[in-house]
Amino acid sequence: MALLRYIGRRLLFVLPQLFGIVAVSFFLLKMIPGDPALLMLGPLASQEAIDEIRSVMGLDKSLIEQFIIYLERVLSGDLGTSWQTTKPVMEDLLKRFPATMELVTLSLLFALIIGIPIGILASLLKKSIINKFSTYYGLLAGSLPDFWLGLIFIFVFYTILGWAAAPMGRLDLGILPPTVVSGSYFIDSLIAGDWETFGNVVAHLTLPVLTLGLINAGPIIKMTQSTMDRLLESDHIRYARSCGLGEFQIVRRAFRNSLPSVLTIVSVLYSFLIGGAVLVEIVFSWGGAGQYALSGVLNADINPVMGFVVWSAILCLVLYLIVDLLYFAIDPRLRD
Amino acid sequence: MNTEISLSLNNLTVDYPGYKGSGTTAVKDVSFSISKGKVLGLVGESGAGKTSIARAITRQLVEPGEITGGEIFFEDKDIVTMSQKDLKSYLGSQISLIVPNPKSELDPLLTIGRQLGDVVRTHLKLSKSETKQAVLDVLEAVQIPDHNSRFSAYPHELSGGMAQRVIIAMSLICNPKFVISDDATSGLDVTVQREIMKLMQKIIKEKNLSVLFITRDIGLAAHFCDHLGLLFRGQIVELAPINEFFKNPIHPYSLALLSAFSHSAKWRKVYSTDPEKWSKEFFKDGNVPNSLIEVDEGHLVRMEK
Repeated sequence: MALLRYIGRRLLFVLPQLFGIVAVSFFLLKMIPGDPALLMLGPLASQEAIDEIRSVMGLDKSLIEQFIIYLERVLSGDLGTSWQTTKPVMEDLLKRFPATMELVTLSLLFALIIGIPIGILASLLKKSIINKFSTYYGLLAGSLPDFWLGLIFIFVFYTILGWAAAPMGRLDLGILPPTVVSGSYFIDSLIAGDWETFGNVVAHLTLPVLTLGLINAGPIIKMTQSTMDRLLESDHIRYARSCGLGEFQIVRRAFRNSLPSVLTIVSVLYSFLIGGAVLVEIVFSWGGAGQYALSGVLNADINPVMGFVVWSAILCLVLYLIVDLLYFAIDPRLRD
Repeated sequence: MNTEISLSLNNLTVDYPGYKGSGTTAVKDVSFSISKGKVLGLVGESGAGKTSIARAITRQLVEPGEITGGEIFFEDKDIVTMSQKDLKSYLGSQISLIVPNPKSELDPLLTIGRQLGDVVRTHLKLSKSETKQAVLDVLEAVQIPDHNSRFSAYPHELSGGMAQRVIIAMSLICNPKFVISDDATSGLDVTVQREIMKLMQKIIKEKNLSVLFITRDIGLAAHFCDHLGLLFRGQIVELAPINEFFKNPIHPYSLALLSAFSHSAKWRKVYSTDPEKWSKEFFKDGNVPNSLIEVDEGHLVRMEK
């Protein structure tokens, strides 16, 4: 019951937070020079035509008026239209966000699967090769740009070896996407039980997930290792040792205590990658939300950008709520 | 006589090597033995090496500390040279440790029932229900009120005194033969301290435990121990049966400590004969002679021959 009240209170704060995010990003975007009307009509358009489209788009009104009109539309669920795709932004994003979420989620899962064991082992075996490996891995993952690694992977595994699927989106051209349930092809093809499509989806996911996963495993390894280092030296672990508990128990207790830190770094990476995976999305022609927002920024197409901001803000707020609930599940001290 | 000895230290030396240059010798040539069912009090100021001795006995020295010399015999096994596996089977079951600051020594994420149960199951291989019963029994034995509900309490929900009782329960749950109490009551206020001490006294008597009782409070040791060793800069300066120690203290450090703890002018006069004479040279370079001399039966004092 107390938990429900807590969730309710948190959700109450979501609205003012969203308002702030929308306001700040709206005015910042309006400060970027560039006239959409000019871009839409091209350099040869007449002044009357430009003026007309400006008044149709409401660009001749004051900034405050434009903002209020935008807010009213957002509240009614209308994120405007993108003049590039000529489709409602909401429709575009409903297609593109699942693509990004699918990529980011699987990449982080992969990063966790390799990062946590390496971090634990590096902390346990101080003088081993795995400890050195983790040191250099952190350095390498921190200094390599992810899009570059993606390009190398494409060059090696697609161009030379021919093992990987073409880096041209989420599915081969001849294959129809599965019926939309969640929007993630990975999940939807599983639900449909369509193994051929599923195989193709996995083939297309492999390289980008590998790219993002390997890069983001770096901070996860570092965080796991340093927290485990600290915990293995802590009072209660030393005490557990002096009670004669087995090594497996000791490691399990230390790991359990280091979970909050790992969770923190994962949530930070997750919220960063929702927009930050854009370069990898471009390299693999993923058609994700970051790519969509970027082309909006480059073409003074404000609606897709604002739509992206609103959506990713909501996703981040939900993500942080989930993370806080997970903290509660892990640490009894926070529950009161 | 020898068969009754539970634990003995022979010339134990513990070093903390420095990262460069000379390190610190925290414990230097310490020898004593504790008979079965007896309590040896080890008293010393901070940095005297008390905790290093406790950690050396359990081989849990903090890095980079290491045992560089001597033997620690528990019954007839040398703990220093024992394999990790053997050591683990002794710790918690035969030899157990009562620690200070109980709240940071318990895992904050697990219930105390679970933590006690883990120790039992590691050493005694009991079934789930037998484990739970053993835990409830020991919680009752350390007089934790309402022990059925405390079973599923987390450490942060306990008061300092309760947490200390849990630590005591943890040390008793496998029926050990030897218990080390390292400054166990230092974090508690005096009334709680008294309750805990009474409890420990009762349990030691009932179970005929041998105890190494480490403390900073010589007054506490006076009420509690059969023998008393005084530790100064890693060395034992005086070791005697408890009555002998208080009746006939010889070493200047013993006298200084006793006079510092004396609450009346009369007692201070008894103990501090002439502090001016020795204190300066003694405390300046800590020049402690190498020889422990037996001045009376079981009464050893470190002094020049």
